[in-house]
Order: sequence, then structure tokens, then C-alpha cells
Amino acid sequence: MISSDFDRVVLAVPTSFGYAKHSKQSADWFVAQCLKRMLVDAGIEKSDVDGLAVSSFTMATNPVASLSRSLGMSLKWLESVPFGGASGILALRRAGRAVQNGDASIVACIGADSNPRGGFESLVSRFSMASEDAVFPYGAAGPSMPFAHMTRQYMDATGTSREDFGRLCISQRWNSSKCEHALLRSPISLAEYLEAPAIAEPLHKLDLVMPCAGADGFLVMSEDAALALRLPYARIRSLVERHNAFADDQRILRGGWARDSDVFYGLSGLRPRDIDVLATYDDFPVVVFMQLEALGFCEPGRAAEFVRDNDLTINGNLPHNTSGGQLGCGQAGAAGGYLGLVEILRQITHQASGRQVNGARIGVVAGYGMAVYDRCLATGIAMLEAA
Amino acid sequence: MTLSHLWHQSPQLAEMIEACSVNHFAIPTCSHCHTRFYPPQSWCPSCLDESVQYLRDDGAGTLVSSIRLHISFDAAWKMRLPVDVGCIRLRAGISVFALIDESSISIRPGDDVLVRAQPPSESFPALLRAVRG
Repeated sequence: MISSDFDRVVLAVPTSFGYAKHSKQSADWFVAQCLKRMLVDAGIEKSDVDGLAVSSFTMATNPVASLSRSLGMSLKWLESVPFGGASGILALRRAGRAVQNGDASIVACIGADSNPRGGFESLVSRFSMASEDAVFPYGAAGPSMPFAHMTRQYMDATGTSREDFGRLCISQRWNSSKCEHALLRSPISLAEYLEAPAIAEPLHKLDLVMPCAGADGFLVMSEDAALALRLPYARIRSLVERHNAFADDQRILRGGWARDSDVFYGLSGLRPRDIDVLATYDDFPVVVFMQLEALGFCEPGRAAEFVRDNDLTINGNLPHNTSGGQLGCGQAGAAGGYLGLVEILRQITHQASGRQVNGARIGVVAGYGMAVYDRCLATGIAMLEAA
Repeated sequence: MTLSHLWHQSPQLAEMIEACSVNHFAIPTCSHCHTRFYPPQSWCPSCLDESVQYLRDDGAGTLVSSIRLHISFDAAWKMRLPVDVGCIRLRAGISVFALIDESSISIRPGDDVLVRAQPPSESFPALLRAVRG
């Protein structure tokens, strides 16, 4: 049984910090403040943490290596995990191995980014050389341009309508109305969704995440350590990672999850029907649709029907993105790649307060990160199980 | 007016632009294994050889999808909005984004198109342009 692959390694202390539309603070500051909150919530000292994994887009002038000094820590293990929307899952995998192998005993995994005014425009204009050369010169609209193409190609291939994407956005905004750190907490109607201003047709304003500042994180440690600290924790039941899947696809109708889902479920011994709560990466609704298909909740091309026929709100039959996801909370840079994982951890350790899914024990989170040219390259899926 | 993207292009894109200005349209091609690729880079993504040529191509392809931009971060584009951007699969086997020429905005996915290149300028701040084939 390969579910013992991460035997005796657990994660705990789901933390979200400082969500704000704009901030003049640096990404390092968000890392520091998120860590401070995690230490308080865990009841441990800074010196107890000997490993650190950090994901950030905006920390370039102060590289991750500088954090040991600026945070005043002597670390045995320090890793930069620069995979955007897949960062949280990939950080968990690396930190889990570090703990498993004895390279570190407690690892703090943190995604953090700032968002000064004009910061998003600056970030997307220099996101990668491929984007600078082959995306930005065609309208200078950031990721909305290639993802509008992805959305259009998916709609043409499957018959999915704007109304179908709207149902997803409505469910997430309903969920975010119950989340204390969400920046967009007002529910929306289908009419509001459909009448929102066009941005990059077929994408309209409510299909897009709002760039913001903030941090999300969690601690990885041995099960014995979590028990000694009396922390609610979760085990890693299955985890897969993939980069550059389906590179020859001319139309982008799937991501790496589709390549690895059989292995993923095989490792877990469970099926989609066993999942109590789900988090998908939601930088654009079409990406959620592709994940629902790849994760086996419906056949390829049938996500619209699935969303129509199922209730994805907190009290629904498949609670999905229960914090509201990035469509509700905002996209705090690389923290957006931790948001879903942190929320799943919160849910299955029953720390989700006003939006708790009753009896949640099994949670799945999927990630999608680093838009390079016409698609994101990194994908990951993790299944967490309550202790 | 700003044309900020002009100042951040890679040396390889600059080489491609130069080749396009001479040959109309050119595609990065590995001199060793002849793989064609895009966006440009200074080594072959297939065999990793570092000898890359920019070979002339007729720019013929098929429109995969088109989208309409209503927003831009760049002042040079803001004054042109809305603009249509196409994703084109070239017969050469690569996909490119290209501005859809105003004369061809009625083209639909599956239609034949021709991709043309011209050095970016303030009057046309993009490299590739698609017209009906």
C-alpha cells in the first residue's frame, strides 16, 4: 500500500494572513508575519522551525536565501518553490520528504506576495522570457489573453456557455461570503455575472481573479511532533506532480492532472466519490472545469453538465473551493498556490469555523502554475486525510 | 505613449525580428535536427543543439481561436482597443499568437490565415499579424 509513502509525516496549522487589495509591505514582510502567526497558533518558538519552503513572485530583490537572516533563523533546510499555482502542493511534497528523511524536523511552508499599486502590471509584463516575447506584445493584457484563448477553445470543443462558467463563479462567491479573509464577500447573481464588463472576450470581469497581497502557509512535521504539540493535523494520502504534460496538444483542453489521476487515485486507494471537500486552482473558470474532468468527477468535456447538476457550495453535495477560492479571496501571487491546500487542511482538521463542511475527512487539492506562453506548465494533486 | 514591451524582448526575438524584416516571416529552426519551435530561444528544445537559424516560411496556417481584448496595461495598446488576437496553427507545425488585421476580423476558427511579420513600431506595436488566407 503506497499510501504510506509519506508515512508518519503530517501537516498542520493552516494559516492565512494579511489579505489586502494593495500593500506597500514587501513579500518578505508577509512571510515574516505569516510565520509569526503560525508560531503562535502552533505554540512553538521560532527556533523550533528548522526548515522553510517559500514561494513568491515579488521577492526577487531579496531572494529566499536571504530569509534565514531577515527572519533570524538558523535553518537546516531552505527551499524556494517557484511554481505559482502549484507551489503549495509542490512545497508540501518537498517538505514532506525533508521531514521523512530527517533533513528537517518542522518545516514552515509559506506562499506570500505583495501587491503595490501597479505591481501586477509590472509582474505580468516580465513574467517569463516566452511571455515577454510572444504574449505581452499582443495587447499587453497579461494572462487574460492566453487564458481567453484557452477558454474559447474549450467552449468551442465542448459547447460550454458563459452561463456554465457563471454557475461556478456564483457558487464560489457564495462560499467567499462565509470566509473572513476573502476580499470579495458579496454573492453575485447570474445576471451580474453575464452583464459584467468584457475584459478579453469570452472572459468578462467576474471570470478574473483580483490581484492582491497576502500570505498562506502551513507546517509540516512528524506525526509524533504534532501529537506532542496537540495540534490538529492531516496525513498525506496521495500526492503527484507533473511538469509540461501534453506538450503537443494544439488546443489546450487538459492539464497534467489528466495524465496522473489514475496514479493519484491508485496511491490513495480511494475514488472521487470518497472525497468530502475539493479545492481546484481557479485562476480562470475554464481551468476548474478541466480539473473537474481530470480528477474524475465527470467525463472529459462534461464539466458544464456536472456544475449544472451538482451543488458546489459549502453545504452542497461536493463542497468546492469553500473559502471562495481566488475568485472570492483574491489572488495573492504565489499565495494563491497555497490557498486551496490551506483551506482543505482547515476543513479536514475542522478549523473552518463558519464555513465548516460537516464531517469532512478526505480532501483533495489540485494546483496549476506558471503560465509560460500559452499554458501553465506545473500541475500537482494532493489528497489529505484527517488523522 | 509607451511601448514598454519593445524594451524587454529577448536577444532571440530581436534576431527573429531581424530575419523577418529580410525574409517576410521566419521561424526559429534547429540547424542540427531541423525542429521548428516558438517562442524563440537560443537552443533547440528537441536536441538541445545551440545552432538556431531563422528560416523563411510562407506563414500559412489555420485559425485555432480568436479573442477580443478590451483592456491593456500599455498605453500604446489602450488607444487601439478593442483588438482581436488570434491563435494560429501554422502548417510549419508551431502555434503563434498574432494580432488579427482589421481587414480580417470576420475570420473564424478553422479558416485559412496568413501570418505576416513586421518590426514593432509605435504605429504597429506587435511583431505578428494575421490576415485571411
